[in-house]
Amino acid sequence: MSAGLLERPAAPAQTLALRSLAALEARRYARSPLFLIGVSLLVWTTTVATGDLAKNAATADPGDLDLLPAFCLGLLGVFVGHQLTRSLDGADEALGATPSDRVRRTAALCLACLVPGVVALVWVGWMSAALAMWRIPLSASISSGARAAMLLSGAVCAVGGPLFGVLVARWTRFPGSALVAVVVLAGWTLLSPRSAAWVAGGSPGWYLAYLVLLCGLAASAALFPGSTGPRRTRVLRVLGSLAVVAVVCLVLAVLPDPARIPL
Amino acid sequence: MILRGVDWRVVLGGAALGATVLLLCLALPVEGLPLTYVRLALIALVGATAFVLDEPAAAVVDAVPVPRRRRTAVRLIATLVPLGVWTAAVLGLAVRHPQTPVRGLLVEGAGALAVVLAGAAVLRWTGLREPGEVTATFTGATLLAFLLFDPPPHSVPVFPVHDGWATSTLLWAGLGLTALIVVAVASGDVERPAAEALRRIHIPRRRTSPAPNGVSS
Repeated sequence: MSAGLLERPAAPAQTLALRSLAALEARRYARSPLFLIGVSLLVWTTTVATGDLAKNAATADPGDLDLLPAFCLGLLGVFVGHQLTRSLDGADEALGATPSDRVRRTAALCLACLVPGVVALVWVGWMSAALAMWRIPLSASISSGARAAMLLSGAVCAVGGPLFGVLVARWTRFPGSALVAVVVLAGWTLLSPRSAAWVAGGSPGWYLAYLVLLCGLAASAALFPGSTGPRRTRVLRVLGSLAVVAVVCLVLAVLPDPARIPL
Repeated sequence: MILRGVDWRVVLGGAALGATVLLLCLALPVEGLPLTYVRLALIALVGATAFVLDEPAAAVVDAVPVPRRRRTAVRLIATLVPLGVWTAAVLGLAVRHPQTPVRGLLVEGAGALAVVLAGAAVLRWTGLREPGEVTATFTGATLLAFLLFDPPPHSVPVFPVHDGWATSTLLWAGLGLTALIVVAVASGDVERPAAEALRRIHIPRRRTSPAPNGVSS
């Protein structure tokens, strides 16, 4: 055992530092009052919505419930991500003397945004179990894979919202920018046709991939302001590649029904 | 002088965002009344109003100390910007869509702005000099939740669409009046003997920080 341990290469100090910073930020995220309110709201709305599903099976599809984690964890998460990022701004002078630079702190914050993602994944699991347990009649026009992609898109939005909050906090300096970001994001979401009818016509799988890439874009763009030299070039390259692939995914998502573009 | 202490960047920025959304509602061809977007704009205006009572430099705005109640009264003038945007937009909507419930929307907007002011005033009363960010976050998130989820009881709709305008108007009028009373009560100067005593103990130890000028907020 000891020989195995000795042969194993030591983890780089930077990775260890990032891991501990991310754990710290994740704890801060999990203790944030708005996150806890969002989780409570998610539990309550899910309880109500699951009961309504059986009643309104003919008109509503469980896939539409992706709005719940998207709002309770994602949209409220914009505030949480923004607040966590801004809370360290006042301590920039003190933190400047520590070995962890601004980019690593931002990366740790981005990793902490996985906390609502975990909660949202539990929600997806619960919804799948509830559908199976209570035998809720499902629309035949949507395949089970498509429905799973629709539910998972809610989980991705739960991560995307906080990442967007971190991005806005890193790029803007004016107070109230979080609320502006939320209003813009809500307006953008409301403009997109997100009904089961669209998803049946489009491709939920590619749409899910598009959302994941948007999360990657938000994280990369948040890392950009503090990066310098070759790191900045690398971030720019990642940003460009992700943007190109995201556009491709969006095109593939709407190809079956180009009249509806779900940005 | 006190109005110079208002963070106009935020107030005008938030009002401009709300005005842009409302202009889009007026300009874009839509079949019915775009109430969801109109209320989204109201959230932006509410966010702008939340920062009206922020006093980051309360102690240095005026050479002569001014009571908090008077400062609040003067600062309330800044609220006329978001309120004016909302009123103009509702009147514009009434011209574009004759079925617009003008009275209901006007009371709803005024009530929402009063509620956010009350939240900011209460937080400032507790000692927070810049309550705007926290108030805007919580009020914005709450209004957005009501807008998207329309939670029960539906007998008193917060944001009605087809029915329930009379009940909603009563609700917002009541909330608005209560909020204004809260603003008036929470704007009184608070004497904090314990805090003052603590500050006196700490002053000699702060050698590197600038000396306070002794004017309380």
